[in-house]
Amino acid sequence: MRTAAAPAGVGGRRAAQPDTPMMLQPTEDPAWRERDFAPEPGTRVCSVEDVPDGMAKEFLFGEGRQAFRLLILRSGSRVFGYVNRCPHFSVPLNVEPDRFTLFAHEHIYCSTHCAMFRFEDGYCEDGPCAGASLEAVALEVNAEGVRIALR
Amino acid sequence: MAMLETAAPAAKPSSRVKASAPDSRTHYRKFELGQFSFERDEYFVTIGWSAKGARQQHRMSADAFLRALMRDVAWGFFYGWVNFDAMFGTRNLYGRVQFFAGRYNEAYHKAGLSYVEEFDSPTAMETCKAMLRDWCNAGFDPFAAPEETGSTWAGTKQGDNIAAIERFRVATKRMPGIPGDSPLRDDLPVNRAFVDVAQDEPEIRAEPGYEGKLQAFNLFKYLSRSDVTWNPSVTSVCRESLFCPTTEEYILPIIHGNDRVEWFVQLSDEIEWDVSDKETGRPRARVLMKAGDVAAMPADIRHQGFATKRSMLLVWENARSDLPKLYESGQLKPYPVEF
Repeated sequence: MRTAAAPAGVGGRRAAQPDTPMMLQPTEDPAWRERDFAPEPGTRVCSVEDVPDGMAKEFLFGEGRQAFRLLILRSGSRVFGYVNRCPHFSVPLNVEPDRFTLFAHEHIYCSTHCAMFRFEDGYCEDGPCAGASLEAVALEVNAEGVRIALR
Repeated sequence: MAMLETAAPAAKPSSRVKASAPDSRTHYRKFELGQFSFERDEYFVTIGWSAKGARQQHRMSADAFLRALMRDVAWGFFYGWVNFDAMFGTRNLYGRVQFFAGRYNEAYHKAGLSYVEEFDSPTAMETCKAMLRDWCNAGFDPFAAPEETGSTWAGTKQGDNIAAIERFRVATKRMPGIPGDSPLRDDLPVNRAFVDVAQDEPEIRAEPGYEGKLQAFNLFKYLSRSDVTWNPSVTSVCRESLFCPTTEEYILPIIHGNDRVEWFVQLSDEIEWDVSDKETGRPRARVLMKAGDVAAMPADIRHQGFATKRSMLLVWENARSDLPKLYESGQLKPYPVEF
């Protein structure tokens, strides 16, 4: 299990430099905040380098099957946060821990039924839930790493 | 290779589909996936593979093949085994997929004529979609019942039906009708088989404090407006418990070998199920389900349904991703009840 510790980091959905803190989205509370074990705004998640470039990594908050599953995708200095839950059958995109099916920097697939999502906005371009999107979790990145965006 | 996992980043190629130029007579393309070859003519699809030092072939009626392929594509290789018939099919390994010929046909397998090849799922999916696009003629909807789509599948290539095979499929987050969730199909017509189904929605009278927090809908009305057959869609998500009702007419185009127990609740009319051993195909049971009947299809069988009149079926799925391993390891028995 991975949990967050002290606040840090940058984050965000479009281009964000590690030394350029960036606030993204939320004008109202997104639905994921009501989920069990949802991390609080400002919670530090990891350093940018903890997510290999072009790849994906999952971070768990809480324990057991109802743990909050945060998916972070990284492309260069940009990181994208999503609830790790496919909108098709409401299952995680990976079947095995941290084993994701993806094309680096571009698309991540749901391993269960092949829905294909864009890195940058979580939009499902192809598959059984084409047109739906992963639920975004706004992140911030700064020199200290990646954290859940403040409201 | 173009893929995957967190270990080795790779760029996505523009296309990994191996297709020939259109045949000069039929105008259909031929396709290859690994050692498998796929070819269609006026009536048949011929699947080829190598075994025992020779090229083997298996032939299916093109409409049966396309109906099965449509489900395999729409369901993203679904759960477990999708047998197109007693010889050919796919097995979802979740991120990768096996294509097999004769592997789960006892006689073929024992004779050493079976063949299995594994692919990364996106590559295989791209090839399957290309076949559907090229081989479905104008007017042929592989989701529709034969009475609705006729024999337009037969003959040499005549146009296409991209709108049908790539129709929008609604995803449900919690339940249809909830604001922001999937719609209640009010814009779809009532199917010819369900003209007697009441179309009124339930009335919700919430206790003080619960106004706007309750949702209910008429499932029979919802299903009466389904425009496809044998294609479950999610109507209720409660953690990993999924209700996936569907309407069924004619033959389930695949013989499904699930990798978990799957519950069926027959909501209207009748479906007859052929149930056989998942590994060998040996017959195990025939089950006639009438309205109100409930059955659990075990995790070690394959099943195929037959419905003369379009009927309503509720499929109840457990979406836990660790179930296949629990069954394969013997930690879970393949059936939910022991008599």
